[in-house]
Amino acid sequence: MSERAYAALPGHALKRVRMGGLEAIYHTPSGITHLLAEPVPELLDALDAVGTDTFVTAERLVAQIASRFDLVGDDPQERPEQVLGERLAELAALGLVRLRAEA
Amino acid sequence: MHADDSNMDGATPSDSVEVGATVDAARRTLLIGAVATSAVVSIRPALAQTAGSVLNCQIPVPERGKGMYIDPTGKLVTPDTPGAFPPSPRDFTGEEVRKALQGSNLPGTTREQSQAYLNYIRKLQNGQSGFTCYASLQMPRR
Repeated sequence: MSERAYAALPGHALKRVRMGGLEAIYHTPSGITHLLAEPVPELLDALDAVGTDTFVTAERLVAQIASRFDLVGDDPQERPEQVLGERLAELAALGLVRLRAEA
Repeated sequence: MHADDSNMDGATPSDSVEVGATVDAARRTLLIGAVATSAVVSIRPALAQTAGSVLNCQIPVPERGKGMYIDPTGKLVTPDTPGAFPPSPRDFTGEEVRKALQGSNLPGTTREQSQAYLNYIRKLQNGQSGFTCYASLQMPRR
């Protein structure tokens, strides 16, 4: 089964500004600004902490985030890997993280 | 570490307490939402949105009601200045200016007059009439 793995962009590609509960993030290559709500900034932080060139799966990232946060989802039936994996796929589609399919 | 997925259902703090002996004092709850709940809003640059209307937007040369002439460098000067050109009787469209920037004359102008007008347009600043139109000519086409 191929699994998707994600990595952070190089630091200079994103300008991030904390705005209360939200974060404004400017993507330099596209000139597009994104407003991110919890838990997306935390996802980006976790990817940064892993290292720019290290690709990790949603599962590994959840383990990393769970070591710092108590994760609370809307639906107990949905696993955190599933929810955060969805967010990561979204970030990859926007070009805010890098995506690689792992064998 | 999380080989057993069943432990990951919901958020059970006891899971993670086992991870490290020292629990971070700053530890907090992270609301991760649901699968279908997006947490991102994207804002595209305002100038990019005008790209479709570039061909029709207007650039007055110069701004109306000033009674000023335009010298060859594009500066606004009094009408008695030697070598200065009178204001353009009509606004130019973004498309006309785009073509002129590529080498042709603005419609109804001589070579020198066209260059003077273009120099004026190049000096436009934010807030001046026609600036947004000129700025959107600089945006790469999508």
